[in-house]
Amino acid sequence: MTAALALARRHGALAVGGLLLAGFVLLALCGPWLGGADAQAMLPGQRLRAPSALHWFGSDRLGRDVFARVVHGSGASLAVGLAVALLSGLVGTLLGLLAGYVRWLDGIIMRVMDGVMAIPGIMVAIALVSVLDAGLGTVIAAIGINDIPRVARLVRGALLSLREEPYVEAATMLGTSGAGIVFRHMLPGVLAPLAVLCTHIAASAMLLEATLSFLGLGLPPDIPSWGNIMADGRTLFRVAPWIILFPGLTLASAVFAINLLGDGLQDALEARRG
Amino acid sequence: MAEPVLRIEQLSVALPPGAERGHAVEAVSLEVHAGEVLCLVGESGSGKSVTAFATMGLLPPALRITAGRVLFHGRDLLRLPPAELRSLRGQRLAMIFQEPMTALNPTMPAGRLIEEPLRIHTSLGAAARRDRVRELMALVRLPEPEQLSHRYAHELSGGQRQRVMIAMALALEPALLIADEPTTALDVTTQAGVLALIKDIQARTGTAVLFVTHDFGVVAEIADRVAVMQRGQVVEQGSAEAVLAAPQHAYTRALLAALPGPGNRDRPPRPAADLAVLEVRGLSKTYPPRGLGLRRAGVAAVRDVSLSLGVGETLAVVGESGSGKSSLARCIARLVPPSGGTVAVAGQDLSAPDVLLPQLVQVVFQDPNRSLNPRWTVGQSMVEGLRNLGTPAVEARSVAVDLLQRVGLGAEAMARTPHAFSGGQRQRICIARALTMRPRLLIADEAVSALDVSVQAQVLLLLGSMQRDLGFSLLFVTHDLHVAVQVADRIAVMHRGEIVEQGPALAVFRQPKHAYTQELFGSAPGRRRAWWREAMARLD
Repeated sequence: MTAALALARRHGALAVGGLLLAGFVLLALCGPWLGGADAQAMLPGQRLRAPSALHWFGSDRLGRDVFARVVHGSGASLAVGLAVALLSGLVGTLLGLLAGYVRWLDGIIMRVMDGVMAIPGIMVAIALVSVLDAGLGTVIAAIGINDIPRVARLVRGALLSLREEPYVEAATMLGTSGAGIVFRHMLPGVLAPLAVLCTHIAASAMLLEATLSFLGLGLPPDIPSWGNIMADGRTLFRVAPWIILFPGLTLASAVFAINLLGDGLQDALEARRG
Repeated sequence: MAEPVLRIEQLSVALPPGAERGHAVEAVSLEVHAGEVLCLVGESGSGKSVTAFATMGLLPPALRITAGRVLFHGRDLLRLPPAELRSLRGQRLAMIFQEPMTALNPTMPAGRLIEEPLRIHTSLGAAARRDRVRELMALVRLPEPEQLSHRYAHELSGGQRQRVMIAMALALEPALLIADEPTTALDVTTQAGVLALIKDIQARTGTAVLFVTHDFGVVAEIADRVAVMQRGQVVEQGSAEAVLAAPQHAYTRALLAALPGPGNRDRPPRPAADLAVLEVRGLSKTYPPRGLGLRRAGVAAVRDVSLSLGVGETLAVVGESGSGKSSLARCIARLVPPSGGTVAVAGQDLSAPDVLLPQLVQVVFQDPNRSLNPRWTVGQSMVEGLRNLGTPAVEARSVAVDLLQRVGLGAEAMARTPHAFSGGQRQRICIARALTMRPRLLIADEAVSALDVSVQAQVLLLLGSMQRDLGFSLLFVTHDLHVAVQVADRIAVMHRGEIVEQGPALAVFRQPKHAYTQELFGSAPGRRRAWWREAMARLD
């Protein structure tokens, strides 16, 4: 605990980003019990109300409480961020390890990765979402595929330089197997930059999810997310700007928090290495 | 005596809090006169480079000057306004660095690099500048200036790069040249040329030179006066001959006694060739051409090398960089597959699929700082090989502790990470780790080259005593002839991938037969000076 405090004092960005993100996670987990309002309850008498003590973030055209919807939607948005980071992190790492250690696989894997990178991410996502059923899983997969090459490249690059390290050669001489060298000697050396990259991936995934939902290609309307709440308010922007403003601000601050965390993590890990 | 060009008075530089000592440099006083080379010599961490960098005003921000004056022609450089210091630094003070590859801007060709100081600090026109560049290139003896001036740093050889850097430094005829280990990264024959060049230019232009080095041979070669530094202080200062031939301070004496050479040999003559442990027959290694070269030939690093090594015998493979000595070692250890030929250890062909390589061959690498996994404890590294063989953890641990104690470290080292150890200690750990496998052949690939002289001497002694205790054969790859003659029973000299001469260590050292060996030995710094040869002979 004291060690964590000392770390927080030395790396302000890490602490602030972490606290903000923890706040968002808490909000997502406890959302349903907060404020009392039901995210789906339509109150025809309360349509398009401006922010007030009753509706903190105002209400939308169906009379739903925007605050309750934003809180409810934070679960979906954060889940997409986390799941995409995990998915592309795991798959990308595996591909990167294979490419970086097995010489003949390198060319094949990396050319495929180049191919994926050459297609704009949003196009892949749109194509996948329109072919498959809309749902949380589809959105996560659609966004995750774009980020796999970034992870694979990072891991492969790190492995190529680690492969030349004398301590890796020494392990070879001691009879350590290929898997032992990759997982016990090399992978730990990649974890720090990998963690940093994954936080950035989580942040950009949340943005891409919001974009997809805004275009009507993301999560179905019955799962509120920050993106589709904004999509809902798009046509009413001049009349009721709060429907877009508040989820937009929330999204921006959540992404900011995660990016702050990532930068802080990078500084902290670099300081430790130095 | 005339006013010195540089006078350092009671200079102290503080280390950041938490360092092993309070000051990097403590109350150092030096003088460098016009037309004189002062060598600042010491081991790593002695403060010699910090002194040089403080003089140039190039200290990293973590280091703070706490006291003293640095007078250049009577003006205190430490108290000059930054703009004045900058212009002085360009024109009157110049510096050359250890690693010319990183010190030269890779985006400019050599000619532009040399022209740069002229463009910034003089009002010469383009034609005049070009003439001056040609003149400078002739001065530093760069051949074919027309072609070389269009080449970039990576297209030049190490010696040529260093000559370009010297030409840049001399472009404005500085009054003081500071050289920080300028020949350390060079081969011995290249080094000889660069040292002769610096000495010659200095004699012609009267430039004062402050020359930082760790190599006493280089000091003997080039210095008029010497200052020996230890732990931030100058412990002895005087004329080169006085200090090196008749050292007064105990530290200087200890350093000179630790210099590798035949005098430190600890190997009784041994009956020749009993059972061969290592048999190399017709080994060759050709690296494939890089990139998509059409019909480009590969690089032949090792050509048809044959050698053998008996039980408990040490063979030193000596050569300059690019001679193929490391490729040879790596082929024998099968870290790279050979292109042709056979290697057998203890009668077993190493290319056989079922051969238990780890128990036959082990390697100790050059850089102890990178040879141990920085995230693992020493204990984890020490038992790795035995655990791979299926040895129970308790037994592996006891073998590891025993070997650590034999190399002079305690059992408590097991729980620490490599960061807690010095370079010499790390190399001891690497030796112990290799020996946990009880190999028949130990390959030391430049294993003491990264170490200071005194540490080097200890590690060499350790290798010898471990060899006597455990009976392994040692293939010792080195660029340093003196190290080779100290540790080896036999020496093989490599040049362009081939062994050009092979024989008993002392015989090769005293009467080299091949022309290349003679050139190599003749290039050893300091040999020009009779008093240095005599001092070395006395140590022998």
